[in-house]
Amino acid sequence: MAKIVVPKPAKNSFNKDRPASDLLKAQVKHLHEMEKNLPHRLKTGRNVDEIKTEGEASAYIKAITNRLHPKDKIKVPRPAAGSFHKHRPLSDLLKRQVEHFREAERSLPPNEQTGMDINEIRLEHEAATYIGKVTAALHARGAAKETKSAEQASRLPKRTAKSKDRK
Amino acid sequence: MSQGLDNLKHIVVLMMENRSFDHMLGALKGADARIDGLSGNESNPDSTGTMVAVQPQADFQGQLDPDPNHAFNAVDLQIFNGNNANPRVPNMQGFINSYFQQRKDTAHSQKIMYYFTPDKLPVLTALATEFAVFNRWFASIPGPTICNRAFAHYGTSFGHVTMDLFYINTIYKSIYQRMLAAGHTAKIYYFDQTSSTMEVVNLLKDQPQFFGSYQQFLSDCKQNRLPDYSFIEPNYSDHDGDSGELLASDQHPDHNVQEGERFIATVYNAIKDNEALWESTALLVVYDEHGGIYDHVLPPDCMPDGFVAQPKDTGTGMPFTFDRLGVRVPAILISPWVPRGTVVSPLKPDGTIDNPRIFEHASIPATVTSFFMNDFDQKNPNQRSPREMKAETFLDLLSLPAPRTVDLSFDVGD
Repeated sequence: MAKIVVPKPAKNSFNKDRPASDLLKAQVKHLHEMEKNLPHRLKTGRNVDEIKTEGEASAYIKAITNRLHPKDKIKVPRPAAGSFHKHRPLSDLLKRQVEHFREAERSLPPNEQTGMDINEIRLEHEAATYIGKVTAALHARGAAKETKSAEQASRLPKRTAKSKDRK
Repeated sequence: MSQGLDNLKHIVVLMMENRSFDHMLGALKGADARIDGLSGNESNPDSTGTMVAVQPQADFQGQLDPDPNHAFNAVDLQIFNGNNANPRVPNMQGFINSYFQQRKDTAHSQKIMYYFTPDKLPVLTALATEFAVFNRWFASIPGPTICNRAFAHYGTSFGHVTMDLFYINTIYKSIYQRMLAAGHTAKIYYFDQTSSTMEVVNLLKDQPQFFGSYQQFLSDCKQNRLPDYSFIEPNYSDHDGDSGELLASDQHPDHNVQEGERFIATVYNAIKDNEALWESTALLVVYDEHGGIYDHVLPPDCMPDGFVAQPKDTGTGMPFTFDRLGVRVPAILISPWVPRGTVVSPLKPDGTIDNPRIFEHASIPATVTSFFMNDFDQKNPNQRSPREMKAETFLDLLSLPAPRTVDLSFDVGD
């Protein structure tokens, strides 16, 4: 069978300034409807009535398609089922974190301390429980300190005024 | 000042745990020869004397158990492999030797040479490719977590090379204290109260106002309430949370590396999803130290920080004057003002780097201080460590004249 040579288009065929066809205009219109539903931050701000050429239409179509289907959106896989292992023995890092928390816990009033013996902490979740308790207590204490200092600050102008009065 | 810096309002640092550059990003050299990763020929001798090459067999969990030793003396062995010649020259030949000491299992000790292929780490790979990856970011100390993290908070570890760290009432204030005193805002976001922070004794105990949870970070990103400077800590433990099982996301061996990838992706998405925040924020993802895992780049000398660690603490029989950095770690700077595919201190075809810019964790407070408190040293002379004063800063990498369109985003599911 004879091989048929398929001719290439003429070199001047490419014309992105060609007026947009009704088909392209309709496509732009449909995508513009989709754009209205996008979050504000993803809107192009483009007035589609100003789109006159094939080049302008294709740029707009690309922008909206990309926002609807970001081509670089990477699916991040989940760890395999069974990865969770809270009974893992303590790493040196967690062991030392527990020791540091014990040091911090000593600064708490006795009634706010956990009463836990850190020497009995062997597993990751036991460390997590202890750390969580001390963190909560430190935060509560910090919040109390902040409230107290705010109260002190609110009293400060009165004292200043008094001292000025004395002068 | 560049347009990017004019627009910069927030610096966010996410510090992960215990992975070396070559382990996580070394394979990227195959796609980009400017990245100083692995050729595949790098090797270490095992306990039989056989040279064992790096292999692309790293897995997400289960390989690095027990946790590779990364105490000061172990890292010394990894870097020098017992070479005590004067002057000591690093050779990076002792990683298998060091790991072998823990289980006396030759086959298992070779796993310290394993590295990830890019397809296994889609998040870190995409970020390193899209933004700026550092060829020369090192741990501040050839030692473990706590003292290295201290450099990120204080610009020094106050002479400590171990996990012990008690440094109250020193002259060098934390970066958070400096920010507050200068009228700026700063926060450490830990994952939750059960994971909490590694910066316990000084800041959490005495200044809990600097702390917030990761949920608060997400909310702050959405509501345009992010502080000027934020430091994020991943989840350090597998534990039960209100919504069920919470996997550790710190990537510390033997925690699941994929969960860490997901965590990095959520931090990135939280900033990227708020367009105003995205264009006014620089996010640095960095690892605190190498965790005993192989890297081929020799740690360089550095400015001593004025402290001396004694032999009883180093465990090597020698003092340490903080004049040498630790092993290289992954670091990526993310911003739409960073040119796509930036490699900081790129590798030349002959395998060398012209005048490499050396970064370490003291670069973090140095950068934050330089950007937000440019007159800090004038107002507070001698209140930053010599290391921090000399540390490289990294915001010049936001060099584009306008923020570029970045299509990259991550789908982490529900």
